[in-house]
Amino acid sequence: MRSRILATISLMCICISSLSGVTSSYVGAFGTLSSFETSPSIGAKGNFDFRSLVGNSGHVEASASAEIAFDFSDSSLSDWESLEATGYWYVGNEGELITSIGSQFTLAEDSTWIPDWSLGFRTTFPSWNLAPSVAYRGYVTDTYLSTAMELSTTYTPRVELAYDASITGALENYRDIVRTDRLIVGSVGIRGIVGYTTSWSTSVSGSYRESSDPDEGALSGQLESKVMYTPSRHFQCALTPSFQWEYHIGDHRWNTSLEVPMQADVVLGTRTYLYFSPSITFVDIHDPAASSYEYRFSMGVDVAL
Amino acid sequence: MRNTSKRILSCILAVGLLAVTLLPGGVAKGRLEAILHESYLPPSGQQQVQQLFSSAEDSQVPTDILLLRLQEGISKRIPSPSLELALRAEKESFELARSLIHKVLDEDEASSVVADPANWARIATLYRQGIHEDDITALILMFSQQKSREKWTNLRYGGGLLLALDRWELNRGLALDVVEALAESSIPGSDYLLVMDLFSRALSLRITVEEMAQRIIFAAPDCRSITAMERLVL
Repeated sequence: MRSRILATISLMCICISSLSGVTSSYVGAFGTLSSFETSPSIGAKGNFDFRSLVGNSGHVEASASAEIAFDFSDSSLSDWESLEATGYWYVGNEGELITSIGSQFTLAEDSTWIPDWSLGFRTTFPSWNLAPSVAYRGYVTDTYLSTAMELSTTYTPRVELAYDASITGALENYRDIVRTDRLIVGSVGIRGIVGYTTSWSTSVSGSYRESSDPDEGALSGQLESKVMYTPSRHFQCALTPSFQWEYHIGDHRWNTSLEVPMQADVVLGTRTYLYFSPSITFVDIHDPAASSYEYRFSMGVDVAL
Repeated sequence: MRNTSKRILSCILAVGLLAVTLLPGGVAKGRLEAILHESYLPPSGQQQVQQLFSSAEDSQVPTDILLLRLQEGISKRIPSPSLELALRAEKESFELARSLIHKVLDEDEASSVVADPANWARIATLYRQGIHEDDITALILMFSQQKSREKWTNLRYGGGLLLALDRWELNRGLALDVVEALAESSIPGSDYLLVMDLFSRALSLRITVEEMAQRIIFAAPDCRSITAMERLVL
């Protein structure tokens, strides 16, 4: 497992070192307190980002991030790493072929490696303000394989407003329990900006899951929104509420949750970012007798390098 | 017979031209009197406004735009002294803009800009937004080089962006470089509205404002739209 992870890292380093471009990176430390853990946890994280033009043919971007956390309740150490590389290759005047490979992994005792990939094509019809795209993507774990095909389009009638719509068909294969699921997901959204300080978006999606295990067939949906307010270079706050529901067709079981996270960032000087991130989640809100809530509060500091 | 017809035609044309020349002033004056008559402004305030409009007419400032401002102020029930001050500032911004346009551009181009009240108003607006005259000069020079027919509309968006970058405390030289890079690119002016959204998102990604400005300057020549730029810089 570790040799595969090291091979992925080496391959990305070789690709990046052969190009010249812009980079940005930051490191940070954080602490988290939540209602479902008896003790707080602390951690550190880092992020590296690179992008470069490849002559007149396109551009590439790559990112690497890592996070390590120590949980005081059981004195355990956990980690999470991610590597992603994406290439955008220009096709004609308006087209673009998009390829990406990446991986998420952990290096702790139960090390995991989750590679992902995608191939897509996007074009624009400027006179109709339309940008349709098609993409194939997938990811795999030791026991699970997911592949999906997505058709989507964006309609931008004016610069401050855009509408998105997509339909996705996915195949999920659980090799360990010999189960295959087929999913179809539809989504529509709207997003925009207000002046120079506020951006917002809202989207609604619905999906149908057909499974070889009759108990897993389900209908589900999600409504999510985001409002981000940035009045100056020193302050930003974002509210991102979402509501999810799932109905299991086999046993008529419902799951619902309403999550309300927010984050406030305060920039000290030019490179130090202090952030506060409270979040509250209400679960099973369709059933007053069983409903409950969980809270989580994180705060931390990041330093841009 | 042919001479008589020509004379009649000449007379009709002359009367038509005279009517076209006099009509807007007459209509504007009539509208001004009607607006003031129906307003809450005291007689002394009405007199001040009338004098201001006469002075604007004398210096050939477009009074139609001042009339719209007057109507807007009256509908918001702005007190007479504040309304007079606002109208005076509007008139002065037109005069300053005209003077600067003639100073910066060659005579033919300056006359064509001032001949279009909409373009003239766009530059006057930059004064009222509080943009420094040196920066307005730089903006006029940048956008006068554009080949687009929309270059003076683009200038207005460029001015708005410069002001927003100034409020973000970006170094003045770097802010002008950002606007210049966009002015030299083929990105439409209306897309400049999204540039500050790039800065906002850069904050979430811990990219400093100065670093983001450099990225935009670097990427702009290769971008046809702000969406293309977004993928290069974020």
